[in-house]
Amino acid sequence: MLAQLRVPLAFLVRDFRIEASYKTGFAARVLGPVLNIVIYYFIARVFGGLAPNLQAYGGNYFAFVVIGVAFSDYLALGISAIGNSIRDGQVTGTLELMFLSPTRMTIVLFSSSLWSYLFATLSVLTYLVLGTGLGMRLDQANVPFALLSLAIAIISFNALGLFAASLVILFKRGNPLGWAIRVSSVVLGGVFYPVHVLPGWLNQLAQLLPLTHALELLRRSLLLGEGLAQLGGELLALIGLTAVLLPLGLLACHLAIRVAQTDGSLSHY
Amino acid sequence: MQPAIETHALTKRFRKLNTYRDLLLYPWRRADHLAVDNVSLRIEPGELFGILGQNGAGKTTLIKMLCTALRPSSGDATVAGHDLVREARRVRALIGLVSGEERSFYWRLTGRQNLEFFAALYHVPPGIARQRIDELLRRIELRDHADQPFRAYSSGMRQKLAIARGLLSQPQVLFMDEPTRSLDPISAQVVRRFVAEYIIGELGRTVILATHSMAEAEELCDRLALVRSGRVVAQGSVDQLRHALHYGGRCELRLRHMPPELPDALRRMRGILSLDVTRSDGLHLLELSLSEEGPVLAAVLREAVECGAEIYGCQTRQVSLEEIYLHTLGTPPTAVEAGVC
Repeated sequence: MLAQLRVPLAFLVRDFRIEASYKTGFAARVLGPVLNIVIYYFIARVFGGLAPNLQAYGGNYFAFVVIGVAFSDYLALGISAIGNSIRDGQVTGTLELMFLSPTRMTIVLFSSSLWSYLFATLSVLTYLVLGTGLGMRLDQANVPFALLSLAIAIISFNALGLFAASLVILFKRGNPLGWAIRVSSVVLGGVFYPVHVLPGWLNQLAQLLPLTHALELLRRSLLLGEGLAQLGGELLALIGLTAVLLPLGLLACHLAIRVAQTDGSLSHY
Repeated sequence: MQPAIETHALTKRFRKLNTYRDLLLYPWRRADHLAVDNVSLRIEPGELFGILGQNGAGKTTLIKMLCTALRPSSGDATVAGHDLVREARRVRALIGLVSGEERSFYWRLTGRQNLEFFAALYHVPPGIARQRIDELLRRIELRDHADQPFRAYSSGMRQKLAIARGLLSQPQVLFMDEPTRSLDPISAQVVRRFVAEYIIGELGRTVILATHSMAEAEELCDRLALVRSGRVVAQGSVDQLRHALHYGGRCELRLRHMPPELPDALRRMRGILSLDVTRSDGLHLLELSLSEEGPVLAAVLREAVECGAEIYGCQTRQVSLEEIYLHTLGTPPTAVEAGVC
């Protein structure tokens, strides 16, 4: 078991060392959530008490938007982290060597995004701690269920990221798929407003996005303390989407690598 | 004994990239470029096998196929008995790659940190990895710089680190693609000594070396393949190549007096592959390439004496690999060459 963890750990150590060597960028990334949360706090104060559409989430816009923004970072990461890591590997020339090692392709791909997730988790914790300090209440939170939901959500986001990574392997630069998923998820996934305010057909479309179900699960479990009894349907929908997207994403990556190994472009950038 | 590497008619075609103009005017047109053409090799365990050829001859493509980085278009190959395509992961566990490419390390990590990362990818346990990294860095004379960032390394140090990385997993077969390409003569000599004494001498690994350097190939390789336009036009040891290509040796004949008919008489003789005549310090210099040294040289001297030449001196030497290379690869392909191997 320990031996299986060595590769992901090696990726984490590598990425921490590289990240820490860019001191200014490191500090800027740490400060980002702090600035964001201040902005959302004042926006929420402007619209405070005018949020009847948020009754299902406790009625507090600040809490609603903090959770939406904090956890949608995971989606942005899921879509881009693997692709960015592959792009870095293409530019630094290390990608081909990683795929030439006996480590499985899937382990290389997922391990390469671990650091980004660790950093995002720190960012989410910053959002939650600062948000709590500014009045967000998490005292009813069903933490185990929220963590379970988050774990499945991350897998589903990574599955979307595998499609985007396939395009990076094939076309190197330009990733319209990643952009399209990210934008549609922010617009339709309920980051800044609840999905039920969307017109009917857009609401239907939103149900096809993992982010929609992930945010519903996280908000209601963290803000209202709901669990499997109330959210079983949402959880099942997220698991279903993940079960479809993950194998397809892995297949897309596998085929993209095969094409790159056939045309010799694995080390190109 | 099972060969370290065996290939049968291994071939790689690349699709040529279309320009925007071609994409617009002829969207369905596809053109191929043949990079490796029907290569059949058998390389024994513990052998140091060289692949020589000009730029673009297909050396790197051949090595990349054997490393599983590229899928062959046709033909098959095994590494230590494992099929290159069907058992790619098993093959990867048995091989190491040393590329002349500097762009394959993390520039913001130190040399040691880079090696630690790649050791984990090759499933080398941390304790063993630490010992092995120390040993390799010491052997390759890089230990004093191990904790400097890779970006501060000179070209020679980067190349040495690439060799250390290639050996981290103690591979059965090590592929080295122009490992001394950007090195000064002293660093190149350190690398050659390391390959000969440590990798071959002590570890007994099989090494496949693609190189431009004739001196390197002649000094290190047990056998080699000369590659042109993706085809192996000759293979064997340097002696076997001399013999197969009928290169017995070179002879420099110095004459005080040379009868005018002598050069043509010599050119007509069997076993004379080429003859150049020059004058220097009042002497006539005849440089001859001979198919075999003994009998042909005797016939040359006899002919010179019978023609009335006054011989001042005669020096013979073996044909160098560079001369074989230039003769074999420096001219357009011929049917004779194709039949050599």
